[in-house]
Amino acid sequence: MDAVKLLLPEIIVSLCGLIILTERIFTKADLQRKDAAWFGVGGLLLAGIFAAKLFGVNQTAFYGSYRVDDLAVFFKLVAIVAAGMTLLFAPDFLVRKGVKSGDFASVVLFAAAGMMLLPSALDFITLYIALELISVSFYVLLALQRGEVRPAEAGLKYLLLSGLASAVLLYGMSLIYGLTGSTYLTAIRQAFSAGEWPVLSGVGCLLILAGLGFKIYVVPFHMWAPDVYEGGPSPAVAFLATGSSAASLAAVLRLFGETFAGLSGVWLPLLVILALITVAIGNILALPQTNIKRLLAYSSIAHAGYILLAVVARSGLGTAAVMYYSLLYAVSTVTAFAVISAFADFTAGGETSAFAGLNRRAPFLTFVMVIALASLAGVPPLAGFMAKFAVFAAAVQAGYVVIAAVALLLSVISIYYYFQVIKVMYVDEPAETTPITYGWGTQAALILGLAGVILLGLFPGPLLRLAQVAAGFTRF
Amino acid sequence: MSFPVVSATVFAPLVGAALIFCLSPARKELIRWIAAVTTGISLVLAAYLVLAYDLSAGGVQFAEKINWLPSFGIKYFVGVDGISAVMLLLTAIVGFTGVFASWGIQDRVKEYYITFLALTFACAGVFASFDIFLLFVFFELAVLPKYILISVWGSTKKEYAAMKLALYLTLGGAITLLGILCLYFVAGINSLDLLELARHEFTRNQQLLLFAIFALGFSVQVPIVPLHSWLPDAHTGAPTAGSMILAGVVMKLGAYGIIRIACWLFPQGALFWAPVIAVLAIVCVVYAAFVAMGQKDLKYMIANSSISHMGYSVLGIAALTVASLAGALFQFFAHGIMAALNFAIAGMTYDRTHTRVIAAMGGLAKVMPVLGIAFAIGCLASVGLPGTASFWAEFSVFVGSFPIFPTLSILAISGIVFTAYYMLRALQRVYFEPLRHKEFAKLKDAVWHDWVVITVIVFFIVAMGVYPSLLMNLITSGLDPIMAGFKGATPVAGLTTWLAALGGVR
Repeated sequence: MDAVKLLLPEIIVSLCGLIILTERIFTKADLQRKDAAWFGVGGLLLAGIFAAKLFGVNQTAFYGSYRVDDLAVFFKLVAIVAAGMTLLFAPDFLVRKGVKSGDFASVVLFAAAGMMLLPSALDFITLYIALELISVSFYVLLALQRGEVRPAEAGLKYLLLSGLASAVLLYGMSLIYGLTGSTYLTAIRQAFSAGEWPVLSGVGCLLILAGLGFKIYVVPFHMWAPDVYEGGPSPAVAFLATGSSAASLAAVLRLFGETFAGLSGVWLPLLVILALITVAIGNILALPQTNIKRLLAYSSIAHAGYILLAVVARSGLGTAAVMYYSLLYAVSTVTAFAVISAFADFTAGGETSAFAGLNRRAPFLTFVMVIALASLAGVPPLAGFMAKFAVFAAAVQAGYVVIAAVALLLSVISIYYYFQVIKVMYVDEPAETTPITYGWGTQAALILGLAGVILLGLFPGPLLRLAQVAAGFTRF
Repeated sequence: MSFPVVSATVFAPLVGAALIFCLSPARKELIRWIAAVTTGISLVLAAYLVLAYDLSAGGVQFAEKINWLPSFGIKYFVGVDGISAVMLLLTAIVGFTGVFASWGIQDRVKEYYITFLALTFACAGVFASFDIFLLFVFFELAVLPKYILISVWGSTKKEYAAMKLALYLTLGGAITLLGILCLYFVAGINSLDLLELARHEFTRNQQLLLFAIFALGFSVQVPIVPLHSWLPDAHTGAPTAGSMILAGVVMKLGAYGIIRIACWLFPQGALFWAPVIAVLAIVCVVYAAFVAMGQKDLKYMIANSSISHMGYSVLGIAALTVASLAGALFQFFAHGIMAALNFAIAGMTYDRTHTRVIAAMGGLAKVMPVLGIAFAIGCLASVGLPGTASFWAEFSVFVGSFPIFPTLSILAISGIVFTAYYMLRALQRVYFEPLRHKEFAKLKDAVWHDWVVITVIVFFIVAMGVYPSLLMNLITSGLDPIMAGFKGATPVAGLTTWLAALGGVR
């Protein structure tokens, strides 16, 4: 199969992004219209079909710097799902906020292209370019609400801290390159498995961990998340929370599952401790939050901790659990953000108290939110529970029984803050009773999300099987 | 393919909930009747399962098995054995009567019945499951409806009570999930099918550890003192039908899990930990009885009484004899319907008097004779009066436990005296003293839907008191495979011996 066919999904997504961008330049079309987003959704759907066709293909291109295997394809699909659902509900939000939805759609597609490239990256340069494509897109997406202070602040914060993380990552990569003489992951892996390496290799490895840790909110690189979540526009944050972290997890799996396997003595104990601290900090700091987006930010941090438990398991089941969790978490989180986005005009800055009596104002919206939150809390048989089950199973199988036990007990805390939101929506009296309205794009995203959370929970077999098969391709 | 009776029994309430979900909230009467019909179907099917169960064949009957999560060997495996059939009947009785006990609810009727039916469905699912993962899914599924039921339609400190319940039960669930994962990998047969796991030989140390994890996880829901503090608040905070199903069914889920999973799969573990469980059981019986005696609130008193009564069941489990285990399971049923009746009457009384303070009522039997008689039956059943189902349950527990834990059994019997004191005193103060407040003179006695609740439950209390062998035979047949693991062995009696055994393990 030639390289173009391997890259077809990314090409389609990028082309769609370019078409939306250029169409706007040449035709000076109405910048508020929603067509761009629908066009983007269509492009993603097409890319998804071509990506799905790549399952079973196990091929390298561009002199070994790019690989399409089931692991990569799975994460490409996660990116497509996250971008597609975001584009469904984003226009309603953006039009209300006076933001050009064409701009938003095109940048989402560019970010999605980055997220699809990243899992396939087999050398540092490709990996870095894909990562930066994602980051640069998010600088724009987060600050797209011009004239408003909070989104601009969120964008700036992300720009500065993400820039710092990129610098750390690059420094780590340059150290590894200096020691191994190659940017290719395959060559680096062979070099590390050959014999003993100087302390600097461990330092390089840890710097890369720090750089990627920023993207997946691992404590102590998580500080930016709550502020950026709170300030950023809901659709952008939804996409950031799901697509970006999933793609970065793919890179973590490639690097730490395989490339740096020979250095596991350096990073594994640290990652185990970081996983536990991340679960603890995320859950504990979510407790006092009064803003729903900050709450979800801290809960995302806790979820990152759970996923790391599967990463440290370093097994086929662990890899499958990471993939499975990424997709199910993406569906649950985007669904929750779709509700927040639909509710944006009716709340004061996303304060949880503003969700009071939401049930009386929008019963379906509330029901969807309850299901999404219950899934994130791990209530069976919803998607989130199955994902947690897979992660903890991987940890226990790898012998981390005590670590899994502590993480499980810490996860009980999450019931408090998730259920508290459910309580506010169902029990508290609403300050006003005007019904909440939202467009059919949002409605479609809500229905898709709801169906996803319930059906992927009720029928987890095929997806988990797919993830397990794909996990078999971690060796390269 | 034959008609899936067990699935129909379990899913009937969920179908009701789905139908109600599609209705306009304004159609309150239709919503109530859909709830009544679907839980009624569940009741009829559960009764059919009890009557159609072939005692001579034994084992799991009416089984339905579908692969669910093949990567982990997890199946949708439901069916009934003697124990499940009885527990399904209990759930169906409480579910059906709970619908009628909720008839007077006017606030958010549609959501109320959806939540209540979802809870009934989850509880029934636990009892019908023969795959541990499926059982756990139903077990955890019950938490969210309980939380919503209490926090929306509850009363005293409802939000606090609901959150406390959710946190405690999730904590228990987390421990249980850890146990399931350990069990899955320790057994290494890529299955969580109870029947397959029961055939697997676990080493002694594996059994000791796994039993401890499962027993700890499930004991939160029993609840065993000191993990009990969520229960009185939850019972008191819950609406009437919520309290009924909490005391009648939810409390049984944990103890059922201990018997169904921990005792069955890890007999060595059960034998080893039995003395500790027996001591905790007596603490439950005596401590909760003392707390109940000091209560001024009628619902708090019944709630603590429930903890005390569950102590008998736990003692029966600890003794691990056929009689004691059969007694414990019969007590699930007997206490389930009796507590449901007591909470129903407490709720009906509260609806009329708007107080639950025992001292504030008095002489209500003069104006509400039907409710007074029903409460009297509930109180006498609590005391374990012959002729009521509870008598056989307690009798069987004591007969089975005495040879194993004589001192503890005698202490447990003292619980009956305490129960008689606080239950009969409450009966006297609430219903049989002179009418204290003139405004109570105009109160209405039982209306038609109250009659349904009272008639159905009293029928079962008396019927099972007069003809206990119907359920007792079923239960005993269900215990056969569990008892096979013990092979005549008796628990390590006495704490000193137990501590010595603990030293041996180390």
